[in-house]
Amino acid sequence: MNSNVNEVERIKARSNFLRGTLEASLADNITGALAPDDAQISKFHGFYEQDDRDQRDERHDRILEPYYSLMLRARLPGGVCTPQQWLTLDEIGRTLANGTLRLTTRQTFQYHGVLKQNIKAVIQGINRVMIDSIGGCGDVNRNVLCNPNPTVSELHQEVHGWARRISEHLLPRTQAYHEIWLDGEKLAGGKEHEPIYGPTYLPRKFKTAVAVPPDNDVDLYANDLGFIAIAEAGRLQGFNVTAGGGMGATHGDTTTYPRLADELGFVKPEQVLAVAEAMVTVQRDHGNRADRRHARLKYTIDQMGVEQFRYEVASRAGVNFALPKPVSFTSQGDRYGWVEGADGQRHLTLYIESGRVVDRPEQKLMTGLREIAGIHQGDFRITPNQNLIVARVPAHQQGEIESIAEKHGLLSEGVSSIRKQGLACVALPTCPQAMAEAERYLPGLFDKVEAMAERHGIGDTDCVIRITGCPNGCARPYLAELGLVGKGPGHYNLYLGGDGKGTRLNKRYRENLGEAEVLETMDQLLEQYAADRKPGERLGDFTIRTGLVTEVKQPARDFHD
Amino acid sequence: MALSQLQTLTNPLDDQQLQRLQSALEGMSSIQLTWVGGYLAGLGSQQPQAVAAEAEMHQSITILFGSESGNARAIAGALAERAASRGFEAGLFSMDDYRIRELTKERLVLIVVSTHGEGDPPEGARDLHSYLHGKRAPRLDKLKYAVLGLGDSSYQHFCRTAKEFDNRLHELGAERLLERIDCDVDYQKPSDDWTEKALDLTKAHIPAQGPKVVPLTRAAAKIPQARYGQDNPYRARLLENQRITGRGAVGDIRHLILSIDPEAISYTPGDTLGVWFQNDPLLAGEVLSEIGLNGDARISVKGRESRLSDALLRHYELTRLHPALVRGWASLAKSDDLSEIAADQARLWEYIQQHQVIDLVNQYPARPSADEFAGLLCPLQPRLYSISSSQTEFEDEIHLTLCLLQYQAFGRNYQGGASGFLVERLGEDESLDVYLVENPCFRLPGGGDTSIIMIGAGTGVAPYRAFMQQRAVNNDKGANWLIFGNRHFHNDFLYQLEWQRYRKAGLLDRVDLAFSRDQSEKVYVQHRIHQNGAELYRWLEEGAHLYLCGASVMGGDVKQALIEVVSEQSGQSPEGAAEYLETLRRQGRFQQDLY
Ligand code: SRM
Ligand SMILES: Cc1cc2nc3c(=O)[nH]c(=O)nc-3n(C[C@H](O)[C@H](O)[C@H](O)COP(=O)(O)OP(=O)(O)OC[C@H]3O[C@@H](n4cnc5c(N)ncnc54)[C@H](O)[C@@H]3O)c2cc1C
Ligand SMILES: Cc1cc2nc3c(=O)[nH]c(=O)nc-3n(C[C@H](O)[C@H](O)[C@H](O)COP(=O)(O)O)c2cc1C
Ligand code: SF4
Repeated sequence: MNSNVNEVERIKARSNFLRGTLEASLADNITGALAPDDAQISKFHGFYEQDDRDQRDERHDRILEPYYSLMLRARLPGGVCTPQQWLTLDEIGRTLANGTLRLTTRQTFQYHGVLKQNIKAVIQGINRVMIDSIGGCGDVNRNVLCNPNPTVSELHQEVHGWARRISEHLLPRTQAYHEIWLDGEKLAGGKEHEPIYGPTYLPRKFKTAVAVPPDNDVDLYANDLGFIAIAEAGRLQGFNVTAGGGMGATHGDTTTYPRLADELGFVKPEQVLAVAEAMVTVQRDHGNRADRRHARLKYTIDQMGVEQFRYEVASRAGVNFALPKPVSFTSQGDRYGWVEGADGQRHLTLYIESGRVVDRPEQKLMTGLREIAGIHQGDFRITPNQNLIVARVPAHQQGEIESIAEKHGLLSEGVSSIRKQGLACVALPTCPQAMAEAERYLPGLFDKVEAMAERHGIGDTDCVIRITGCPNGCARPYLAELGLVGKGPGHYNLYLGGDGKGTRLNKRYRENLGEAEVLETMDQLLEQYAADRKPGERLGDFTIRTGLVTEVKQPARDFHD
Repeated sequence: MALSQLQTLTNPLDDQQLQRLQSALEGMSSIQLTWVGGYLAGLGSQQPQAVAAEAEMHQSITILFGSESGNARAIAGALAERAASRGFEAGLFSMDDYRIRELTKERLVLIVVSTHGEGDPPEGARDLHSYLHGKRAPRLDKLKYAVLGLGDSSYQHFCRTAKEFDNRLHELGAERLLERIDCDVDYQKPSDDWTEKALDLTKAHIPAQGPKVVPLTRAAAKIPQARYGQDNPYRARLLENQRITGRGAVGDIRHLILSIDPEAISYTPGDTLGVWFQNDPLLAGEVLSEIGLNGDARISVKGRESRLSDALLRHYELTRLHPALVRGWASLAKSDDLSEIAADQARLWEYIQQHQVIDLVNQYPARPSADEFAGLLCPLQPRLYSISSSQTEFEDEIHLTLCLLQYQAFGRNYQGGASGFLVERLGEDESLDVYLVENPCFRLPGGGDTSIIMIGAGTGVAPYRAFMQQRAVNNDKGANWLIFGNRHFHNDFLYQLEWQRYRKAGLLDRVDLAFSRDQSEKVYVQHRIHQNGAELYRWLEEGAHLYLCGASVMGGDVKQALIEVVSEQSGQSPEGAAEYLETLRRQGRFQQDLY
């Protein structure tokens, strides 16, 4: 192996197609943690080692290791699951995890707080309802996003089918998952073969999304690989293909940056899998395996140049990219409440704060959803905004579902649109990368921002605020009109200038603000916006027009100025 | 260290001298060796001009780093490489892998440390940081040092940790070799420059490779100067009282560190400490008001006059009952009920185990005089606690592992007399009366090559911590096997980090754990003994020593399990197996400390 590769590459190489020493790690009862190599390999199986950071210092003083547990993330292309599946997911969350389900910005769910000795039971449990966690994390193609809008049902179904096929086509082929978790037959390592990935998989995670304009809830341009569905009269014609999007950056390191995907061209539906596979193999062969900070496809493309990259993909896939079709996106948010689809079925979008499905005294989300799942005949769809759609409800059941939702406080009447558009990543206490709070910070912050907006007479303003605990960007904060990105405990960088449609990056406005300064700065900003905005002008547009920030055009060069 | 190893190091003895030394030491037990080591060190220090001057030196650079995200680690690594390429002998340690107590022996330490959180040390630097800033910090007059800080000036507390290390080392008497540098996010160039400078200066302080001698032992030979005992206790100071069970734990177990003068108390792993305590003043007040006595009343205690309330705190048992008290109280209270209990041995014992003095006076009202009452009470007894440290490792400290006895009954909360005092009433830096209780029947094997099996539950693990410290310092080669049980893995795995470190270092060969409440069916240490019966028997057959420590109830179950295992593995009858264990016991190979 090339001596210039990073440690994770070596770990993958010696893992024998993702087996590592996972079984020994699970059996080692002196620690709740995994062996360091296995903590990398486990990601490909869908779970991360974490610890309760709230208790970390205290436990160290108590001569106890950190309170280790595992976070498992499932693969759920397009976020669709059945009520039967939901009931099982709910039960596992209550019995084998920390009593919650966490809906993610990539349309799936996570379990937090799974103890090492329970991980196998969790995986077997979801497997019983045909859900797996293969490639939930790790250097492979991740959960494929797909616009869940159920109202245009036929088109959606067709597009969702492609999302599913892409996800399946790009699954690792190793039997390690079945062997270790599902007690599958043991294959000799030599018999394994990864036709697409090869034995060291990709240099880094790889993300794919499928969008159906005019909705850009999937934040298509934040993905390594994107497909924009092009339909004529409700019939799918093909996709515009995009490549090289991503959010992750590192504070202070100007060689890292968020980047919007480039358009490569238009392809027919039947060319989708070939294009996806070609894109993956180009990244496999050209991605940076020395430095994980520069290993995402966006850097590979900036290295190669878009033209060269398009050429490589086209020739590997054996396709000719046609000129991309014109598309326009209008929003990156969800529509709440009931809507009726073309076929007369009803769909209820519920606002789930930070995607955390949990029972709280004032709102019994988990119980409510369980009761709904008990009678629901359609399906559930997790949205890329961490919300949940109770989809395909026949007209006669609308009332019944509505009353369960109402009884448990699931309806979002009275929730401001600022809050409803907001996103926060998980951050503390589970996320090892978090530098500041996010999910736990959001509710209190939004209380104050709402009050502020009221005071300036713009309480109904519609603006996208996103918070993350670190610059990795899990809630896609660089696509927000106002983004807060954690810098240290209680401290955030503030970004401005997204367009509310997910097609423009924002830019840093202030650095390392304490929570009080965040509020002060936002207050001034909202005051200015209330006074000087043009009719219908969004906050993000306003901040650019008035020169509070300059628009980011080529992030490699101008994101950090 | 084995003498044969001495040979491989550049040593100041010629072959003949070495041979003579070897033959002189042959056959000595580890305790004897320890003593001889100290003796020699003492001799050496009286001949300052000779070999001893070199012998006490560590002629190397030690590079310590504290890093969270790897930057400081990388810089320290590069520093070590450059030091090596210039011919220095450099040791590179992450601060959390470094044996803090070595610091006083160092001559030159280079520190590379970042700052995290809100100006906090990185995780791995916390222990060293707080040790140096705490009251246990040693003087470091012989040390030269330099600090490189890593940080980010957009944070409020730029490089605070580095500054703190720098200032504190200076305060402790160490001498700055080179001004500290605080590196910002672009640290490469400044850190390279600093590294070069530091190594240039190092050259001036560390002479060309001279002969290197590793001292034979760390502790000097000492014979206790005064004899302290139960009636003539030593006044120790409580340095630290640290809870060591997790947030959700039912049991509140503390790690207590007492400060002692090693001249006054010299202990061996396996020893216990006798502790005098004072009763809870609130409890004493309650008892007095319940029976209508005034605390100011004078009574005579051991021939001296004392206030009744003082006597209840210092001289009498207020938590434990004893039969004479129950009997006496029964007649005072003229209670048939209590008299019946007192007359029946079994019921009396049960009553005593489940009640305290306050319950007796509550449940059976009586109005004795102050003298009458005091006359019935049992004199205060000191309590014993296994020492959980080795003096070779912690020369002037005694560590205890103490479980706070607390429970609820009759609608109120109760605590144990001594454990309540030590855990809740005695403040850090306050003093208490203690005395050493030697425990020659609970000792490490004489030879370091002998393997040991340590079985214990709860605080029963305490002496094993001392054992491991001792075996590590001795560099004993015998294998170590811990079988430990408690309630929950996450909350009650006492000294978990230390056991993990021993395992990582290859000192702890096997660990078997039984956490009784982590699964629906209860699992205890005796189950682990059964599960590992073949292995355990093999160890015994190969000469391992077996230890058992903790609560007596557990002890009984474990002994039963041991008999069953030996019987299964050897094909003997249970009686034969019991005899086998008995033989081990007689040979000193099966030792118990049950309470
Ligand atoms: C749960 C979720 C956030 C949420 O609130 O919903 C999440 C949570 C985590 N992300 Fe993420 N990411 C999540 C979507 C994203 C997104 C958004 C997206 O994909 O649309 C991004 C930005 C897009 C991108 O990838 O560029 C994102 C960029 C990252 C990165 C930075 C990657 C980079 O290129 O620099 C990391 C760190 C890493 O990979 O080294 C990361 C790592 C993590 C980890 C696993 C932390 C870690 O490395 O151990 C977080 C687990 C926290 C926890 O306790 O649960 N996560 N993460 C999202 C799960 C998505 C899923 O179901 O697969
Ligand atoms: C050799 C030896 C070594 C020891 N090592 C250790 C050690 O390392 N760590 C350690 O923590 N302990 C150790 N002990 C035990 C220790 O000595 C004390 O016995 C223990 O701390 C309790 O003492 P106390 O004064 O707190 O409680 P006490 O005041 O002695 O007891 C309180 C009284 O409360 C009553 N009582 C207790 N529990 C209940 C209940 N559940 N319900 C109703 N009534 C109850 C009983 O009447 C009891 O006598 C050791 C003992 C010995 C003999
Ligand atoms: C959460 C967080 C908090 C930080 N806090 C501080 C700080 O208070 N002061 C400072 O000087 N640097 C601070 N830093 C910057 C680090 O010290 C800096 O990145 C350093 O290079 C890290 O070195 P290491 O990788 O060896 O830990 C912080 C970094 C992070 C991630
Ligand atoms: S953005 Fe950072 S803090 Fe938030 S979940 Fe992702 S990795 Fe964790």
